[in-house]
Amino acid sequence: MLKKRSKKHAVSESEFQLIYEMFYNRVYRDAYFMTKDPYLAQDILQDTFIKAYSQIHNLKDKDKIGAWLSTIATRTAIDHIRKQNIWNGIPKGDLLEEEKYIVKEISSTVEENVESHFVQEAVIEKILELKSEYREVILLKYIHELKEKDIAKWLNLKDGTVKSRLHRAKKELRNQIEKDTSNQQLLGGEIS
Amino acid sequence: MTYQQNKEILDDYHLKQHITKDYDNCPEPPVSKDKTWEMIRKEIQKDAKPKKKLLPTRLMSIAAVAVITIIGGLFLQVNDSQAFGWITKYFITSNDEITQIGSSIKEPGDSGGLPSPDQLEEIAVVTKTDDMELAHAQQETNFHILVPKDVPDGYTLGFVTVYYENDMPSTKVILNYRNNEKTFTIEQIYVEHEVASSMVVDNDDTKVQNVELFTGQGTFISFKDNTTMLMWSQMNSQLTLDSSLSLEKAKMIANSME
Repeated sequence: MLKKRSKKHAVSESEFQLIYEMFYNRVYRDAYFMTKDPYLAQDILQDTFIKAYSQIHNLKDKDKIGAWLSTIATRTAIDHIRKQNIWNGIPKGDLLEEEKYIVKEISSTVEENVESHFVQEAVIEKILELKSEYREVILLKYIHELKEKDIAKWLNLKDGTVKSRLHRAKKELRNQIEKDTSNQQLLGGEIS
Repeated sequence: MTYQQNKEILDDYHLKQHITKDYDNCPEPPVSKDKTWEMIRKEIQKDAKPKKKLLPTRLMSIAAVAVITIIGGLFLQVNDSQAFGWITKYFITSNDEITQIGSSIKEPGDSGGLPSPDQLEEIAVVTKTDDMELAHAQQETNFHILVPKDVPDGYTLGFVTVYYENDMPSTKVILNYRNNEKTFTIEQIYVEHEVASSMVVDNDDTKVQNVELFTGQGTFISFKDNTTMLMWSQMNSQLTLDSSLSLEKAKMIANSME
């Protein structure tokens, strides 16, 4: 019968502002990594902190607030992407047999540096073409260095689902890079 | 691209390197950090505003609750009373389906009538609440907390909920009483200048009646689920007893508030 008249929060507004100050950059970068759109990332940033404020009383381990905020940001980003239907995901195809490709040695340091730059661009470009759920796990694993079991916990997924998404993400990335002839030309690769 | 290159690019170490470079090379947000915080702050304050939400079983019977507004329309009954220099007004307007119950408290000397909508402010933007003992609550607040001298047998004061606005104690507290089985609450809103409130109840599910209290007029509402609400004003406070008590017991509590 006893009802509180307003929702309780685990932190005051001023405490929450400190959290905002601490994690502002992280959340914005996460949102931008997911969308590559600064305006959309801005919306996601705001939504993430608003959601966090309403749910922070449920956060048991305050030491993991960064990971928690990142997962809210990635989930919010996926929702925004779905709502706006802005994402042009590339359909997944079967992985091409790696044995199809020949090995080419590159020895020049200069060439390696140039190559590194293009490889960087190619990888990033192809990551953007991955499904948002794949980008999400890549971000959490490779940027925030979360363990797969922790990613599963935060995203409320099974461990196997996270492993599978990471595996598929890398496979698809490799597949897309291999299929892109412009990369092959830039890097002097050849297809047998 | 060669197989070997491809493999190197996509091993964990290289993938992390590539992604980290991209992650760090993020453009500035279109809106400044401070402005973004202001927008977030406004939203979380909206979220923290007290919604005078009644028990779920009452939700269907109460169409709208605790809106600070002017009640237009036909007043079937207007009752004024004066206690310690403060003027209170109750009015009830009814048609076949709903009953509106309004009240106002204002300082003596003000011109007659209810305040205009432009002058009205919401009671509180509550940012947090804290439960504490009465003595502590009294120290926290800047007004006298009214406490009933008489309560039905078995009931004791459990704790006092103090509401805060921007981390400062607000003018609202709730006394929480309980016995082995049931609870009741007394909400007190201290009125510094003037305040008006209204609620609308569905006549199908509720019975509204005026009651005479030592301090003046009050309104007693009986809901279909056997819960009741007694609203009245005393000194410069609006009080609401939310319970499953009978009218007689509710009146006993209200008449003993000191």
